[in-house]
Parts: sequence; structure tokens; C-alpha cells
Amino acid sequence: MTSNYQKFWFELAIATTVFLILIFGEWLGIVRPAMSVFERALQPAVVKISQLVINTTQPLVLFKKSFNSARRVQELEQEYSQSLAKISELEYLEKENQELRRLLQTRQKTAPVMVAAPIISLGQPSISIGRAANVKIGQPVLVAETLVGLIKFTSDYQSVVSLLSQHTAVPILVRTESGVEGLVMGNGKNILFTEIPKEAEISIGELVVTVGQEQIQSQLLIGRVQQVVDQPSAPIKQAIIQQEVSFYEASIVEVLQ
Amino acid sequence: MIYFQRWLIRLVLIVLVGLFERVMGLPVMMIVLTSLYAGRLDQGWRWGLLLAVGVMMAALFMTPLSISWLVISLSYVWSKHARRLFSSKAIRLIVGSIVGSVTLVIFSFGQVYLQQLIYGVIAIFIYVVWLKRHRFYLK
Repeated sequence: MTSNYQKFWFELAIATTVFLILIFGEWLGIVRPAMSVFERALQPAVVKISQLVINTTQPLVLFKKSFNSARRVQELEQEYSQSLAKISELEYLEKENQELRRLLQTRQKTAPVMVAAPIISLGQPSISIGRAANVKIGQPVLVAETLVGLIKFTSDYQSVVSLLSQHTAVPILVRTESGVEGLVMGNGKNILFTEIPKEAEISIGELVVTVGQEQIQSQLLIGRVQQVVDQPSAPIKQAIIQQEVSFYEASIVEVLQ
Repeated sequence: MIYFQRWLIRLVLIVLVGLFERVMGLPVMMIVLTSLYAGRLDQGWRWGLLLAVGVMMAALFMTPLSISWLVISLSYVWSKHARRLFSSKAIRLIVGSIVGSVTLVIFSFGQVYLQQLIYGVIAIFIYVVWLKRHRFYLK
């Protein structure tokens, strides 16, 4: 009995001593470079496992989507015909824009983009680049040019992404095609377009884009208005935004600097 | 006498489980396996295994090494020495791994999601059933 008691205190003493040594090492800054090496070494395996999970769950996702596929195809056909009409208009505007740029001799400034592989994790989606690639907290994360989240936390070779649908997501100032402004935030399940004035007219299917704020460029696509929630007792309107892409199904993501 | 190859195979197994658990978001099985394996090793190999797993856990879950060490070493000490509180080894492992992994994830990401806890409970349940069948021996 005494022996077990002594063993317990001996092992606890070892654990505490090593803990204090590690704390001291972290304070001196000698632990981080060593950890960085291990993080980098494990990175390919983490990405591979994530890709494996995506590939494994793909049939399930397709099966789930196939239930609404007929209705979805109809909607897409309608959207396609509307888009064709817009394209011709946009092509004319693009030509005009290029001509004006040539006259002004200006160059289009584009934000540098970093490409990364997503790392799937329940509740804690991450990407395979971090501080070593100059990723900073608050930078936008895009999938197929759609804003899906912001960088929440970084280490040397990984970064945690706060998806727009999560509770912890930072509110983002957005605007619809018709000019209605509001905030986008998550409720844990959906992406909510909230703080919409009661008198504002908002219709289903409208595109929602960012207005522009610190670290978030303007005109980044968020998604389409899927449902408008207008409760008589509420002082504001809310809408649910649908995104055509998903972080969990993407093979690559982009981080805007 | 524990041979280095055997020790390394166990470490690789724990790391593979850890890679899967990075996807699930909660290193429950990593802690259970480490606690079980470490209990059957000599002092030097034991602390070596705990440190190696601590390093891997810190790299996978983006947490400071001191925290992952504290979690893994205390989970081991708990599962080995808390007989007075819980006489059943299975319960000690469940409590140690759940508390340890939740602490680690909170230190790392700030919060734990329900999906992660559901995974933890399912993983522990399956593992305990398996352990009971094998009478707590891992060969």
C-alpha cells in the first residue's frame, strides 16, 4: 500500500517536473521551433486523412442531394437563363471598363491569394497553412470564390476557420443586389442575414455580397437569400442565406490576404 | 524488457489513431491507448512514450506542448492510481480520457461541440465493450 502511495507521488513529481521544464522552455521560446518541425511533418498525413474522409463521405452527400435534384435542376435552369441575360450586359460593361482603365493607365489591384487544403474536423474546421505562410486571424477563407469563413486561430502550419454558420463567426457587413444592407452571422446551423430594416424589401434568390470592412474586401459573394423570416413582433427582419459550396466538400480553399 | 521496435509500433499506432481523431476533433482514444500502454512499460520507456504522444498531440491539436503533456501525463497517473475513487479500470479510463480530451480541446480551440462529445461517448463505449471482452489485456 505504501509502495503504491510512494509510486503515485513519484510519478506525479515526474509529471510536474517535466511540465515545469516545458513551461520554462516555452517561455524561452525553444519549444516552438521543435513543435513546428513535428507539425510540418504531420501535415501531409493530416491532409491525406481529411481528403480520405471527404472521399468516403462523398457518396452519402450525393445520395442526400439526389432527393432534391429534380427541383434543383429546374431552379438552376431558370438561374442559368437569367445569368445569360446578365452576361451580355456584363461583357459590355467589362469592355467599357477596360477601355476606361487603359485611358487612365491604371492597373487593377488584386488581393494576393493563398491556396490551401482543408482539414476536416468536427466543429473545428482547419486549413493546412498557418503563420509560416503569413496567414493572420480574421482573413477571409473562400471556396470557389464564395466566402465561407474567417481565420479564427493560427499555428505555424495550421489555421482554424470559423465558418459563417458557426456561433463564433464575426458579424460581416453585407448587401443584397437590391441594396438592402445588414449583418451576416451564424446560429450554429444556418447563415443568418440579420439586422434588416422592417421596411426593406428583400426577395428570395437575391445574391448577398460583402460591403467591405477591415480585412474583408468588398463584393465577396456570400450566397443567395433562401428564406425570409419576418415575425410581426420582431423589430427587424431576418433571412437565411444558402451557399452553393461547402467547406466540408471542397478539395482546396483560398485565403485572401 | 521492452524492445524499441515494439515501443515504436505502439507509438505509431497511437499517432494513427490521433490522425483519425484530429478529424473527429477529440483525442479520447489517443489518451486511452497511451494510458493503457504506458502502464505496462518500464519507467524510462513509459515517460518517453508519454512525451512522444504529448508532442504528437500538441502538433495535431494546435495546443502548447506543456498543456498536452499535462493532459496525457495526468490522465495516465489518474488511470493508474485513482483506485480508491473508482475501483473499475474502465471507469477510470473513461473519466480520465473524457476529462483530459475535453480539457485539451478547450485549451486549444476554446470550446467543445456536441458532435465531438457524441464521438467521444461512442468511441469510449465501443472501446470499453472491446476491453471487457479482452479482460483489459492488449496483446
